[in-house]
Amino acid sequence: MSPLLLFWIYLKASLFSTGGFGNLPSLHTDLIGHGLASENQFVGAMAIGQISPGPSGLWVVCLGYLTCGLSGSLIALGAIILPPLLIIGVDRIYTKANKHPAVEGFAHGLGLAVVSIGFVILFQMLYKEGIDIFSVVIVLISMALMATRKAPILMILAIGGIAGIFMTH
Amino acid sequence: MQQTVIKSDNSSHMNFATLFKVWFTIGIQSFGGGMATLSLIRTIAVEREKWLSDIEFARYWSLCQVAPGINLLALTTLLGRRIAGIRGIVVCLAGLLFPSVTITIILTAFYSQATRFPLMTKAMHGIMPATIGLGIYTLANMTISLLKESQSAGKQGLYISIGVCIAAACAMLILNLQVFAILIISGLVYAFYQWRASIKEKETE
Repeated sequence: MSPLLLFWIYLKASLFSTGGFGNLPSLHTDLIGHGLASENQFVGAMAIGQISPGPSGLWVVCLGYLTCGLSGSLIALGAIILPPLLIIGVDRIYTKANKHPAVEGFAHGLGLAVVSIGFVILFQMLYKEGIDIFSVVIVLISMALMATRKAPILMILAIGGIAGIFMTH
Repeated sequence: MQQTVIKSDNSSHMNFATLFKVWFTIGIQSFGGGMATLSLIRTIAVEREKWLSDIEFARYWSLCQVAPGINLLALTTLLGRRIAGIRGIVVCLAGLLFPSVTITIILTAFYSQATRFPLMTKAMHGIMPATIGLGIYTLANMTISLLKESQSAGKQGLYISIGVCIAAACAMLILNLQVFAILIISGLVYAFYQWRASIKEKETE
């Protein structure tokens, strides 16, 4: 498997997706289809991507490592850095065009949808996790600590983790 | 590193070394996935360093949703460019990615060697709701700034905005529409409203 071809597979998947796991279907088809990765490696990579620091999109770097070692992870990294740089073009177009009320309105409507969908996803996550007293209390404590603007986020997550260890059977 | 001083509108003066350190700290702390990282970036960019306002941050974030690739990297690119042009982009991306990618690769190396730790699963039971709490706080701030901006155009703008929010949420929950479709439709709906409102305003002048 030539590194260039591998790079292209990762690049193609990220170019035509938006968000952390948008590249999943394309990568799944290409890598598993050509026998370059297994389902287990996909699942493992996605799990590590969720807990490791940085965007969850770094799961691709995990996949690169699991399938091809360090060089695989670096190829994947290079491929996922490039597409987000195109935001500069998107922003330039927006900045030039945003004097027009329709363009400004479009961006505003987009923002409203983004936050609403975000809330829906958060509540779906909570529902999947299980809405019990424990999780609701952790949610509220986390929100309260954020509101103080003094608690570091890592500390909030650590509190959640420790609570999880002691309270889960 | 160069001792060039970066000037931003409201924030303290900062050189590239310090900028790298700020993003390095973000990168090293950003456990818990996208929402935690977004909250961290917002706290530092809007509340601490004051590189931009909440509404500008919300605007950047929504643009990132329709741009290709990882949203958080696109956001970092925009913030880096705002702070210090192309060099800013390089420094911020490097700061964010260096620790997070290194730790990610190390974790992956351990994962492929060792068996899963049951302690991690228990910890996740607590980390998940904590992340959700962070997310609610961050999104709530962005929502308030967006609604305040709609209100500045009048009560009608506010009601339409609230309507778009509810419709988008329902489209996702009940109709199960594709996220991208909901984003575009919401944008078009509000674009139409804003365009009609501006025409009416011109007619009354």
